[in-house]
Amino acid sequence: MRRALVWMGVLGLLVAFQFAAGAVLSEYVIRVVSMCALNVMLAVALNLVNGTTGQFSIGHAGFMAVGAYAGAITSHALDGRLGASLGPVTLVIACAAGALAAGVAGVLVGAPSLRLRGDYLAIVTLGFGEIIRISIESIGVLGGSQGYPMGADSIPPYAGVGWMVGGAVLVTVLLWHLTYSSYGRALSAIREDEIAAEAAGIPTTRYKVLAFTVSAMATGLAGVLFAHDATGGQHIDPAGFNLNRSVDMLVMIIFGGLGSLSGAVLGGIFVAVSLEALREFQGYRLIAYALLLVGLMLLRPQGLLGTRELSVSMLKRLVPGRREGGA
Amino acid sequence: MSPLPTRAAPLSRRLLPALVTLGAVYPTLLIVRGAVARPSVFLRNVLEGLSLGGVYALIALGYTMVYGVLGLINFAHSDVFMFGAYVGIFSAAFFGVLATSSEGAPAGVVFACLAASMLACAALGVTIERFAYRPIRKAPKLTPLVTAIGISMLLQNVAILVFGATPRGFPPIVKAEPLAFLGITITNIKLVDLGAALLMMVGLTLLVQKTRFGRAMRAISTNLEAARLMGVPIDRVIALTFGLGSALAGAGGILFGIDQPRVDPLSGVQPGLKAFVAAVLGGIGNIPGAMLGGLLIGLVEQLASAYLSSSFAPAIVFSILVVVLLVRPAGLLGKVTREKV
Repeated sequence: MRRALVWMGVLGLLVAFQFAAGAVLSEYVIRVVSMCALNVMLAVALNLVNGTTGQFSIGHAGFMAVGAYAGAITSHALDGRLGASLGPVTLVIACAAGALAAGVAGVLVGAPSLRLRGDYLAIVTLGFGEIIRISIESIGVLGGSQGYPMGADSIPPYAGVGWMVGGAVLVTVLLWHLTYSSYGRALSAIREDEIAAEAAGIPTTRYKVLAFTVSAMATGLAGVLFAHDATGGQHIDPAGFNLNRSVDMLVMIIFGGLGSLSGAVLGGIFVAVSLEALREFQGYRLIAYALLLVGLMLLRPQGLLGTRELSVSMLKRLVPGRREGGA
Repeated sequence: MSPLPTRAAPLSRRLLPALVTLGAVYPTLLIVRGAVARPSVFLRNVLEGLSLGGVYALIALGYTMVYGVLGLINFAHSDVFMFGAYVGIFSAAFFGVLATSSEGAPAGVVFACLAASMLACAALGVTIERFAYRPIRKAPKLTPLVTAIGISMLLQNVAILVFGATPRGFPPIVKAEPLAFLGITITNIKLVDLGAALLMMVGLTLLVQKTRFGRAMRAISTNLEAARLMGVPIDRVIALTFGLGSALAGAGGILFGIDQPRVDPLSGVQPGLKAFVAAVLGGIGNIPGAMLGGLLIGLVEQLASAYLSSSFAPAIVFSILVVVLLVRPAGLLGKVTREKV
């Protein structure tokens, strides 16, 4: 009962945010918030595979592309019939379609490739990501390299900032519960020692495919919201889902600390905000970003938080003079 | 793999080869039909494919040698290749050959450009190894991989800043002329590329098999700690390996540039990825494997774009990567190693 009330409260806040944001916040702030929310979804989703389960995917942009295209096609088809007043319904159906399509892609990619480990898994996911992108590029109906939709058409911009933040909250909460359930413990066991986990009776292959599929679905959902983002271009093209996009996601969770869900949230926000803050320094900002990544690997390879979660006691230790317990 | 049978794996393992065979039959038939219909065109495609493959092989060698000594996928290698092409542009301009020139350059200028590019790339490779990879050589495997991705980003963005994002033409240091033999016409550039690549591969094989440095490299590749105990100067040999691999990428940059004269800061990515696929196909860490893999990948890409679909050809190359890794992760020439608990 109490839980239901909390959820209704959150929903109410999001709806209020969706409508009030335009009046209170500037367009620029809304755009940055939407971008943060998108990054949080992507980072949290990837963290389930790369962090919690200890596998290594650099092909998640492919799932984002599948979600974005499936969602955009769905809403494009529905929008004419339902009209703009039923926009939220269209968007929810598009989200379901995108997440489902990405989930199917996740099973198809994950089931054969998760038998591989480490470097090899990274390469196979990279290969699959490129295959998805090139396939989309060479399918004429999807607009090829020009992107979707073709001509003067555009994707309906139903995903306002409330939807983006809502998506981020939903993905984060769901994956938090998954990570700290018995399933999540099993996934961490696979990360720590796959052979020991298998000896302890965990069906490792099935669990890895499960984690991969859930992660792909969440990434697909992010893709749908990205395609419908009211502050975006209402247009998607295959080049937006290339290797660089996958690397971006990877950078977010590495900043935050692989295996830390709150770290992934922080990393996603950090990347969006720092890229935005450095926008004035055009040419230099990506160089700074790359240097930061290399520097982080040299000095603190476990990322900001390591595998720990952000907690009140951790914040307390940061406040000088009130140090509790050992370092 | 683990000794315990899992429930999902055996099924997919049994199904995979059948699916792969099914998927490969139709494209192969299409290629055979095209070859039978016009054998001379097929011969030209084979030659052009091998020529492209030779360049891929040169890049693939850098990936495979570094993987052999360090176990690291050097993502920055494709950007070293891009850098080599830029050095080629600038050194050709130094000798007065611009992208707009219509005349070729004397052989001396071609060799000077090649040498400049190889030296500059070797220096870049050694620098990257010294400052980015050496400090984290003992770190867990993920750290160097992420560092390599970071270095790749760094090189691309520095190139955008320094060279500009707009594509540049590559100067025609070798003048394109059609050659006719055996009933086919092919541009001399393809044959120059193929010949140069094969020569360098022979040279590298001699270097690796016959010199002290080559022996040291192979020793490290077999067992780094044992090599250290036998007195092999680990740091110096690893640095030289990076230098050698990067020099080959620089040469590849020139050869690729005279064939496809368009260079931009991100133009290394796609050839780099394909060369990487070639290294995996041949068995990563295996030097003859990289040569074979490179030639095969070039051939497959050329045939696929000639007889199937030119826009889909890269996807076919990556499908080969996926299939090889799933069916035979050690690659064509690689040794299958069993994991011990």
